[in-house]
Formats: sequence, C-alpha cells, structure tokens
Amino acid sequence: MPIRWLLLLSLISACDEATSTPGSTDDAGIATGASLYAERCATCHGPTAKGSIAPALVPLKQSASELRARIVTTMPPGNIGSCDDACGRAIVEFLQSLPGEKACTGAPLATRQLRLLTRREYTNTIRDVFGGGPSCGEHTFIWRANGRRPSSIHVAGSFNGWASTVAAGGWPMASSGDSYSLTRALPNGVHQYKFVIDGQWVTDESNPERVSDGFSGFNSVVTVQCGASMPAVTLPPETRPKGYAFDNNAEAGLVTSAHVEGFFEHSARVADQVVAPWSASRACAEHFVGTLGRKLFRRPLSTEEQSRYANVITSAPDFATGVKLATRTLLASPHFLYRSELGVAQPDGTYRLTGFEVATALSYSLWSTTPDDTLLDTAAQGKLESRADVEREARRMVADSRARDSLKAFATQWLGIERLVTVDKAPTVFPSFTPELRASMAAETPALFEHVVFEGTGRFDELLTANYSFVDATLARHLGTGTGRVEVPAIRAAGLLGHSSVLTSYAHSDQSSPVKRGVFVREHLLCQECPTPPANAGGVPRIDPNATTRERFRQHSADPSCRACHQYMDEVGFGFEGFDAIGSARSVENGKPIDTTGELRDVEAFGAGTKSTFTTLPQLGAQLAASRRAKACFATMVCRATHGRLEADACAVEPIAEAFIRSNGDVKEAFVQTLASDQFLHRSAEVKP
Amino acid sequence: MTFSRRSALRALGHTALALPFYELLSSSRANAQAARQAKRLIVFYFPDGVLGASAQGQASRWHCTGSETNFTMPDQLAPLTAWKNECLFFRGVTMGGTDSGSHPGGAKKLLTGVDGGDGESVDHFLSRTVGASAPWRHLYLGAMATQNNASGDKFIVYPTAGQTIAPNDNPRQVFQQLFANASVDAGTPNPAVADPRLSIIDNAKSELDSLKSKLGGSEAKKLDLHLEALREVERRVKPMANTPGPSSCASPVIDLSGFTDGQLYDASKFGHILRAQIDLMVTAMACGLTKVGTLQASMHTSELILSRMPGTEMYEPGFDMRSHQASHYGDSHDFMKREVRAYFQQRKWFVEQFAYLLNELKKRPDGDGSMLDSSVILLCTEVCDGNTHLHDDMPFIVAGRAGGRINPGRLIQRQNARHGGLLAALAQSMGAPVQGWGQGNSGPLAGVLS
Repeated sequence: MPIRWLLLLSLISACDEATSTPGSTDDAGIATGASLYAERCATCHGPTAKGSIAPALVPLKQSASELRARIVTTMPPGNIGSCDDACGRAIVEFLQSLPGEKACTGAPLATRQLRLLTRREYTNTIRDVFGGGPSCGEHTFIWRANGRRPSSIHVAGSFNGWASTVAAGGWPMASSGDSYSLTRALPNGVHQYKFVIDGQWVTDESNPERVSDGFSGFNSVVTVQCGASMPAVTLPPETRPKGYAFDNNAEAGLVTSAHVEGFFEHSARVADQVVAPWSASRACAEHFVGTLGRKLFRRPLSTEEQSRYANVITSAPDFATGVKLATRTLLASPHFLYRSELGVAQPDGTYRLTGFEVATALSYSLWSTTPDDTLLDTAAQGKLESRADVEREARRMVADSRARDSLKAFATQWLGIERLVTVDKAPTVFPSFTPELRASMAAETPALFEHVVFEGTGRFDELLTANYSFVDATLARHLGTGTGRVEVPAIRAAGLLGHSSVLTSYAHSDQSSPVKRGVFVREHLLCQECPTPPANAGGVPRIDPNATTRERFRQHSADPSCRACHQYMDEVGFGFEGFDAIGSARSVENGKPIDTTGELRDVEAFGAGTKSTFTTLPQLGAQLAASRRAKACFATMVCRATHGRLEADACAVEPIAEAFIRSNGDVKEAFVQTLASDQFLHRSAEVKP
Repeated sequence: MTFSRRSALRALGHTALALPFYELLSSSRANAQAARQAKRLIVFYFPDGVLGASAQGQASRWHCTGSETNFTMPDQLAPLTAWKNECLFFRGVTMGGTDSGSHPGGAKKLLTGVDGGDGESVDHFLSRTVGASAPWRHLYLGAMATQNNASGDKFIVYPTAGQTIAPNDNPRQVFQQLFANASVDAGTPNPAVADPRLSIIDNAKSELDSLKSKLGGSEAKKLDLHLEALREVERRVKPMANTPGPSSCASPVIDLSGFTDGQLYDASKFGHILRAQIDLMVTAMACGLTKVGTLQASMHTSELILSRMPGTEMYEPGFDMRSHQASHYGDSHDFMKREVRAYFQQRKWFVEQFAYLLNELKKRPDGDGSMLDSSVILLCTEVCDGNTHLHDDMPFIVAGRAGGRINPGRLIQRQNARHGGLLAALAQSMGAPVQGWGQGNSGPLAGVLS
C-alpha cells in the first residue's frame, strides 16, 4: 500500500483557513514558517524543533542558506521537492526565531497544587482512619509529670483486670522527658482505665472521655474499633492525560457531581459505623472533631475549624446523630478530599510545603494512604523541615512493609498493564484466556517488582534481566512451569519484558504486534514519545496463513516513509516475536521459524545515530538495562507518580535522574530523591493560568 | 444509602417497556409556547469516521447530493431513510487543521471547536447554563469508551480547557444513580428532619470559597468545578416543589438483560450495552432529569471488534475486524476488499443505532408533538473519511426540530464553513446566549436555525 502521508499533510493545509501564503516580512515570514514547520517538520523534529524521532534543529548548527538548501533538497524524506525555496526560507526564519536548547541551570520549581484523592487513596484512607490500619488499636497512654517523680506508675483497667500492681499484671509506663507513656495494642471495644501512681488511682487528665467510677471519681475511656469492613465506594475512573501513566494527575483530578454523589453515599455508610464518644459534653465534641479532623485533614484543625465542627455535633438533636453528621461533614470537606501542596509564602517569593504537607506527600506516595499518627507527630515536632529530614523519613518509609503495595501499584501503572482487566482476546484463537488467567498475569509483574526492591538487589537493571519469576498455579499451567519462584526458560529471561502481562497487554486480539511492543519500550521504558501515526499510514497488515508476523510487517522497513518512524518501533518489537498475543512462547509461526533479531537505534536519544543489534529478548533487556536513558526514564516515571504531574521540561527531572544513576539504579532511592528534591519541597509563586 | 429493591428487580427484567406514566419536565402548553427552542441536546458520538470520498477520488458514500430540499442519501445512511425529513445533512463543514494528529486532534476539537481541546466543550457549556436547572446537568454515558485504561484524549467532554472527564460505561450503575438513589438518604429516617446533606454541602461550599480566594488559575478553576458539582447535588437534594421530580419516574424499566457486569468490555455485547445507554438517556430526559446528554460509543482509533456481534451483517466469528483497522480500508472503495465491506457495514450499524435513538424520542409525546420535535441531536465522529483522515466535509448529521428552531429535511451546503458555527447554532437552538463558538468564535452556521 503506497503511503503518501506527507503529501496528505499538505492537502490538509489546503483546507485550513488559517494557512496564509508565504510572505517576506519578518513577522509574517515567521508565522508562515511556523505554520509550514508544524505541518511538514514537527512530526519528526518535535513541535519546538527540540527533536523527536529526528534530531533537534535548534540551536542552529548551519548557516541559514545551508539549512535552506538542505531542506529544499532533502526534506521531507519521501516527498523531496514539496518544499520550495520560499517554503525553506520561511521555515529557516521560524527556526531562527526559536530559543535554542539551553543547558539545564537547575530544575524549575513545581507549581502549587491541590491533588484530589484517587479512588485507591480514598479507599485506603477510609480503611486506615475508620477501619484501622496496621497499627489500629494501638493506644498511647501519657501521664504528664510536671516535675513529679513517682517511684511506681502503671496502667490498670478493664483490659488487664484492674491490676493494682505491676506484679499483678499492671502495665508499667516508661519515663520519657517530663512524662510517662506506654503504647499498647488494645482489642476492639470500649475500655476503662486509670493510672496507678505510687499506689494512688488517678484519672487520665489528658483524656476528656470519662465515666463515673462509682466512687465519686472518674474512669477514663478509650474506644477501639479495628478491622471493621468498610463499604466500597463508587467513583468515576480517573482520567489520565495522554502520555501520563498514573491515576493521580493533579490537573485531571476534577470533581463532578458523580464524585459528590459517590462521596456522600459512601460517607453516610462510614459514619454509621462510627462509635460515639462516651460522654456528650462540649469538650468531648471538640476532642472528637479535633482527633478525627487531624487524621482527615492531615494537619491540626484551626481553632475556628474545631469550634465549627464541634458545633455540628452540639447542635444536632442528639450526640450520636451529631457525631455521625460531623463525620460526614469532615468527609465532604475539600481539606479532606484534596491533598494540599500549597505551602506557605517565603521571603524570596517562593512557597514551601509545610511539615504536614510533606508528611502527606510522603505517605500517599510511599504508602498510598493517609499519614499515620506517628508521621503527623513528626511533622508537628518540626522534624520534616529540612531536605535531610525528608530524606531520612522517606528512606525509613520506603523500606517499611507498608510501601510494598504502593510500589507494586506503581509498577502496574508505570507499565500500563492495568488494561489486562479489559483487553480483548479472540475467544476462538485463545480459549484459554480466562478471567483467572488475566488476574494471574496481572500479579506476576508486581510480584517480581516487589521481590527485586525488597528482597533482591533493589536495582532497576534486575527488572529487565531477571531469569526468574513468580507464578501462581493458573499462570504455571499457561507457562508450563512450576509454581512460586521459578527459573524461567532462557527465551524469557529478560525480567518483566518476558512477562505475560506485558506481552498480552501489548498485542492485538488475535496476533502479536511488533509495533505495540516497540512503542511500549520507547514510551514506558525510554520515555521517548512516538509521534501519532500519520494520516493514511496503512492499517495492520492482514493476517496471512503463510507468513510470519515479521514478514507481514516488512513493508514498514521497505518503504522509506514508513521506515522513518517504524525503525524505532518494529525493530525493537521483533525481539518479542517469540511470544504470541497472550504471551505463549513459540518457535515457529505458520510453519516458519521465528526470527527475534532486531535493532535498538538511538536508545539514548532519537536522532543520535547510535545502533546496537540483538538476537534474543534477553539481549534486548540487557541493552536497555545498561542504557542511561532507561534509568533516567525510570526516575522520570517515579517523579511523575510522586509529583502528580508531567515534568515541566527535561531539566525538571535531570537532578533526580542523576542521583538515581549515581545510586546504581536503586529503585527505593528514586522515590527518596523525588520526594526530597528542592523542586518538590519548594513551589513557585506562579499558578498555572 | 438504600437501594430500591423494586427498581433493582425491574432493571433486571427481560422486557423493555416504555415508562407507564412518565411526565415531561415542561410539558405544559404555557412552557411550550414560551420560546421556540430545543429543550434538550443529545450528542451521539461514534469513532473513526465514515466511508467518505476515497483517496482516489471516488464519491463519498455518506454525504448527500442534490439541492437543499431535493437530495439523495447514499447507502451508508440507509437506516435513516425513514428519518430523512427529521434530519439536517451537511456538505462543506470543516474542522480545519488539527494540531495533534488526525484522530486525537479531531476528538479534541470536536465539541470544543478549539485545537488541542483547549476550551470547554459545547455540551458541558450548555449543561451549566441552560441545563443547570435540571436535576442532572449532564449525562455522559459510554459504551466501552474507557476500555483498557483509555487516556484522557479519547474522551470528548471538556469541562475546562485541556481536561476531559470520563463517561460512565456501566448502565447498571447509571440506572442506580438516576432512579434508585435519587432523593434517598439513609441518614435521615425521619422525613421531618432537614436533609443533612444540605448542611454538609453548605460547609463544603464555604470552605471551597475561602480556599479559592487564596488561589488563581487552574487551581481556582478546579474548585469552581467542585462548587458547581455541589450546587447540582444540592438541587437534587432539595425538595423540588415546582418540578415533577424523579418521583414520577420511580420505577422505569430499562432492559439490562443483555449483558452482565462482567461483560461490559465483551465486544459481542457492545450492541446491548449501547442500546441500554440510549434507553437510559431517553428515559432520563423523558423524566426531566437532564437536558444535556452525550453518548460515546467506543473511542477514537477504536480497537472494538465489531465483527464479534452476532445478529448483525458485520458478524464474522473467528475473524477480528476492529473499527480502526477497518477505517484504514485503502485508497479506493473496492467492495471486494474485506476492510471496505466491514467499514461500510460498521458505519451503517452506527447509523442504525442513531435511528433507534430517534425512534425512541419519536415514540414519546411531548406537548403537541414528540420528544424528537422538542430536541436537537448531533451525530458526530472525529474525522471525515477514515482512510484519508481529513477534517473537512465533516459527516455531521443534526436531527430533531429543536422546538421549532430547526426545519429539518434539508441538505445544507457550504464551503469550508467552520464547524464551530454548527456548534454555535446548536447552542442557540437551546436558548443559550452565545454569539459564536470555538476558534475564531464562528457565528451560527447559516441555514441551520430558522
């Protein structure tokens, strides 16, 4: 099929009313050049001539006349001569007007933003605040000594049989500074207690929840409710701007009425499970909203807020109703629904994230949930202020077991394999592709990621070179392997590149796709955006029972106008041809041997002119793993996922990529560096228009 | 919140019946006479263009030929034969160039009229202006439109410049939201007590206002949209004394029997899902629940395998013909070619679904006529011919009489008229005070409104 898209682009221009005729005056010339450039050059050289699949054109390396001659006599490939002298002159004028690519002089600061909780973040937050989290039920008893030095102090209550001495089972409290404290996990239920200090039974003064002890004094009360199963929330799916792989893009996080309905419906059911405090006093109301509000707003409530929310309780017909209503009101607040990254104004005109905002960013980025009390305390103590503080805390958190699910979800989104849930496979060709198999495939890749990061070397390159994997029974039947950790056959020994999740996600319903798989490598692993296919690029070559897929795609390399782009895709995608559309290994296709040789061109940058060849998928994996670009791209992906935005430009991720490469590709370190980066902790004054 | 058992059971029922006693929001004669304008807009989108003029110059199999009132419809439009006098057809309406590729660029510009989707889409604009008094400002329903974690550029509704929202692909969920949850609140067992959601909304609104006052640009816009969403829900929660609320539509019957929740992305069920969404749209409008609706069938560069649908002429078990694949049919209308035949059949099938929508509207009386007479409906796709990918001579069709503002049954022929003008005309037919729409603020396309 003849591909004449370059010609077509000029046809489009003929229909565009905005197109003007070439002129000679400067501004008109530049405008004409810009229009001609956009139509004829931008696809390959990038919209601002900073390069895409063809080299950057700015800063200009040739004289204007040399460049014009080159355009007229050699461009565009496949349609030479379509740009005459006037056309060439206008394009050169336009290029001369562009700012040249300048070296990075530091990463631009991110702008201030509000980030709507994603469905995952919202669900985890509700689970941890209301259903308890891993530390649910842990209660810290504190007695402020105010200079007193008791010789014995312990906690006695309904949970330890009101033990009057430590020997009888009382829980001793330890001295820390001017107070005594004890943290203990308590079972679900309402507990009463007192402190026993030098033999005297004393009410906990810091706890406003108390009931009569029957001896004209008071017992303190603590209520524990953990493991309550939270109802599922129905919210619209997140929208992801093109080229942004994650579900948390801050700009796309918009609240529609369907969100409001979803939040309301859900919060009513959550509030129904909230146990009201013991006593119906104003102090108790303020304590309740202060405590729950701090968890939900991820910062202390202001005095005004605490009073306003306490009013919701005290003005209700009864205390229990008031508590439920206050809970629902807190859950509908923008201070809960959006993560704040607004910061506070600094003398130099920038904004700096508060300790609580940092705690929030760390927790959602690394644990996919709201910061726990310990982290909020750290913020309150002013220990999340310096870059060193943030690094220390991020390192602690990314090594914690709570980071596992979060990093697994990152891997799934980074690679775009969530589509396994809905990807279509022809039932007549692949009857074995059941919902169970989809789920098993989807689990393999995060399992490898988790292992490499937490149990293995922790290094990025292992993700592309591992010769082992983790398969469950269903996947084992599909792959013909054992279960659990298994050595994979040599053909698959390329880490996640040999995973069924990737191979199935990037294929057609009835056939493999060298194009999709090549684009996957370019866009997800190298952060090299492939141009949108031109109009009139042919469709997928028809299935031919007498040819291999590779043979059918031969047109892409034979026709120069196809080859310009497809050399970057198909030549990489051929490396995956040992696997069909659901990732089953094959050595022959339609009776002909499979050929997995290919070329990895311009791995560091489109247009750089480098080339390496490979004959197997593991070789491709090793070449990718060894490249600087793949590591820089991974750091870029981490940066996007944690910052909730596409980077402003390449300079924005350069320092983070550098640090990641210096760490020999330590995956955890990529997360630490993005979160502790100055450009994240400091924000520019400007707001996106 | 409780789920109405009766509604749930009827939703699962196996028969599709019209509502027993639906009421129309403005069915009174007084309202009907108030202004000649459309009461509602429905946008019906399908992906990947039509079999238009071929690269080799063969005539379009979509565009009508003839004079304004005496014209013939090509065979791709056969399902609309009975509806010829209810539709406006077009020649020479262009979207101009697009800045970001043929399909995505077209989808971005389709309802915004602006390159790169750098503006609000006309349906969203109407939903928050002339549609803002309805309980639901906007229904955006999809059929397999969010499959495979579709990126935002696959969607056509832009609440604000550069940002899309996703349609709801799940008819059961839509049914529940529209008819089961409406005006029900588990937190208020006592109807004498004010709905607690009102005080919750008040609190959220005042907090949003104070937050917004400290911000500008896109962040303030984000909070504005949140405020609008709260106001919409507030209207639904408040007792609606003067409007026949959802109570008159307490138990509509929608046929959801053709697919399970696990089959929402099963290509063989696509037709059933799309029909259910059309039924939900028409029923919601008949009940006065919304004035603005957008139906999105699949998405641009669609991988939907239309050959999987039994009972259609496209059906070809064992062969996967995707929408986008068929659209690259080649340079000529060679019907010996499988892709050409499939593409033609697919487009015709989408037209058939559009005709079904028109028939459902026609069946329901409204004032002196039918809902079709009082509505305006736009059929659209993001490119013209799927192979050449051009955006000129866009294959738009407008149906309905727009309450008398539109006199259908005509072929409107212009030369390189910007499609923003058509969107402006549709907005004006809804009574929106717009002078123009899109890039260059094109005034209403001449000949659409009367």
